[in-house]
Amino acid sequence: MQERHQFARLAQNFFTRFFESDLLSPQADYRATLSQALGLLASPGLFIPLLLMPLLMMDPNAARSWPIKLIFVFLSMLVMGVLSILEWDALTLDRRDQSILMALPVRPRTIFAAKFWALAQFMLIFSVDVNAGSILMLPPLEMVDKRTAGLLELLRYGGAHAAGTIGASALIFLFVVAVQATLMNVFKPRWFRRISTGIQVVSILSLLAALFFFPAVMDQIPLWKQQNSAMFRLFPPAWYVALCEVLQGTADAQFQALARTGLYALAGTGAWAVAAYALAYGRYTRASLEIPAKAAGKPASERRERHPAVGYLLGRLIPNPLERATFRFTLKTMRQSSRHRLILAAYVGTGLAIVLEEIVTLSFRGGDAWRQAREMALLSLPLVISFFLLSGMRFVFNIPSELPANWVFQITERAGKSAYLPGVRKCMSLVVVAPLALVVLPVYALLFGPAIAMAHAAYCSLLSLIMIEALLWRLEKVPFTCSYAPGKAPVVALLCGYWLAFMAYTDFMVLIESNVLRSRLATVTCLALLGGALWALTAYRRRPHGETTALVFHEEPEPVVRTLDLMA
Amino acid sequence: MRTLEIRHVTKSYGRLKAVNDVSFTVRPHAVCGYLGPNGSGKSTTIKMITGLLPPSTGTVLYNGQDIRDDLIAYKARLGYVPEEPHLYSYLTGWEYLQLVGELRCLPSGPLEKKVDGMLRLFSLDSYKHAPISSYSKGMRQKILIIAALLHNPQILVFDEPISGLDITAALIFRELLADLSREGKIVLCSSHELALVESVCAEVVILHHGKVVASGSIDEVRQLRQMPSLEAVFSDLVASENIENTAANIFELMEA
Repeated sequence: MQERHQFARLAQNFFTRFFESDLLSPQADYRATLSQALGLLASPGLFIPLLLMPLLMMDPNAARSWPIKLIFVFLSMLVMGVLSILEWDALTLDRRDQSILMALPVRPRTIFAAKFWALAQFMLIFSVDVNAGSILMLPPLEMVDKRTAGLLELLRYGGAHAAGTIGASALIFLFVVAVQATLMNVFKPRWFRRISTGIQVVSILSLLAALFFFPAVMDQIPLWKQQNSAMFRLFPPAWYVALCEVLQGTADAQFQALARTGLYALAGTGAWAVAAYALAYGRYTRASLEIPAKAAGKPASERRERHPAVGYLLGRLIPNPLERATFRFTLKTMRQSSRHRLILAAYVGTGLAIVLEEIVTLSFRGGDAWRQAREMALLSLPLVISFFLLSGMRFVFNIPSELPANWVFQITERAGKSAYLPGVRKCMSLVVVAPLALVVLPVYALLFGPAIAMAHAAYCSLLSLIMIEALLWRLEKVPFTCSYAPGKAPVVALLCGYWLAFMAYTDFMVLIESNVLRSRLATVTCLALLGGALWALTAYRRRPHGETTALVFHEEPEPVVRTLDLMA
Repeated sequence: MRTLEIRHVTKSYGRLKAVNDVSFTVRPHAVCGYLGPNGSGKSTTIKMITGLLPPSTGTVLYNGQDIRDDLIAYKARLGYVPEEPHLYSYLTGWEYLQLVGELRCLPSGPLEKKVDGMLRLFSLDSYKHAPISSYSKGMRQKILIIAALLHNPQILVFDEPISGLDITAALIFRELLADLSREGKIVLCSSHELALVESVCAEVVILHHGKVVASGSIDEVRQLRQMPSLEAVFSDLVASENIENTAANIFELMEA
């Protein structure tokens, strides 16, 4: 009885921990975070059936066709994959859990079972949430022309679709848990922590790349099925589409075999996750508690020490101490915080995936028109990277790192944002603009010749610097030092804004560049105009009283009830 | 004479008054001890004195001027050790102090020498390039103390400064407080360590339920309450129950 009570209490605690965040504004409620997350994750599943509705209403056979179901199964795996990777740290018991629970008379098996139960709850809730839209909307569309079909058949169709999509979500979630637990068994805790970030980054990049390559896969997949190709048999979303088809009554032997594969994979991955997790649990619990003592006891010679030349060089390049402090702090935090690196990787991954997809697609096409399109895609590559890297950096600046420690910035505040932001600008230039120019020069010299390479490097650098100015225009905080109230900007407006800015920054600017590059005079004029625009922006920012706004350290969440402030 | 004057300061959270009409003055050459039980409003007062929180009513004056008139100039003269050792744990001790020094606009050459010297004197030399996440509580506290002293401030506000320090470091800190006071710094020290307060502080302010219940020199407070020690005065003023009885009741409840 006592153990059951402990289990229930612990499971509840572990479940709420998935939505806890030290970076949120103290006023931000975790339930608000949960509902926002649920809403955000459910939206693709709702919007895609809505977008497809006109097509599917006209042709119910299309709704019944398995490639349409493949979209939803793939989407469900993708969203759950990203979510599991983002929750990587919460999947295991951390040091805080261990230090608290080890001192209490709770059996390890109770803790383990409670944690696993919380994981199962999390998996189930989000699997259902991600797929709710398609589970509810697709079956009626499939049956639009079946006038005699009753409620039972509708439920059977819905159930089959739910089994396929939720099964796919569960597979990827369990796979992430199993991989993590296996790594915990293989590596020592310190190494596990180190490689965890790398794995998270690579996984996010892979999932995003998969998203952008999916349309190309969709083109090929009917052919793969026809040929019974290994590509089809080894493509996990196909297993769960097959499961859905089998439950809806198909007699296709190929689908029946794939559905079996899907069920075996789910059972096997589940067993692997439980076994690896159980094995890792005891070992990791003991070892991770010993880490801090070992780290503190390491001899001084083994620890990272900055070369004096770096300090000297930095002092010369950034003589203002406030700028230098902000520069160093921004750089260091981005380097050390796995959470920030992960978000940044997601941004860069999106950029890379877009460019790679475009280049790969264009490389299969011949002809002059495609050659020109390929060249434009190649020219846009640095701008796409710069766009996603810079906007990613701007986004992560909003997310605090060790928020309670920001008192040191508050207590040492000496001036408005004008004193701090130049350090941030320099950091963004060093991380993005300088490496980009250094890579563009040799690569484009090989591809298009030295003159175009130099012009392109200058063009990309100037545009990136202008973008930095634009991105920091309304920043009123030292990066990572202000609390974060999520959900203040409407997601749809934000995505539209990003899309428009992306099109303007890459496609439109590359179109201009490709025309300008034909004449030397036009190139010089264009670069001069960009330089002038950058100078004008900088001069406007530096005007007297231009950036006198005080720094912000606390972001207010959206009020539950918005008032008109008539009494103010 | 430069003074730090807290004048009728109140801090309200809705209807709750965390600090209620608190007034006292901190003078140079006289370390002021700020005492009170948990939840009495000490840290809230200290946050208002450091400019981190605005008072609901009342003012904090430095040299007769409201600190909020030129908060930045005031903060430049202030050294502060907060109650909680919140530090950027991914930075090394050396990097953190470098960051604080740069935020204080200290020139880089002398800053590096100062940081190295301080770390050596606080016995953190061999840990200076280890991340703060690996530091013990006492080591973090030392980093906070060094960070507060780096810019040679005129005003020093310590909130539980010796919490977690080992005996040697605590003794060194006690001597340091005396030296700072001799040099004419304005020093306010909030602590639960009555021995530290009694040995170093010339004046004492006792806070209870957000209100000042006693203030003056330690001798004055002792004589006024006709008590032999500061501990007895403190117990008399702020202990709402008989201490021995409470301890006995806790023990009884444990066994229940």
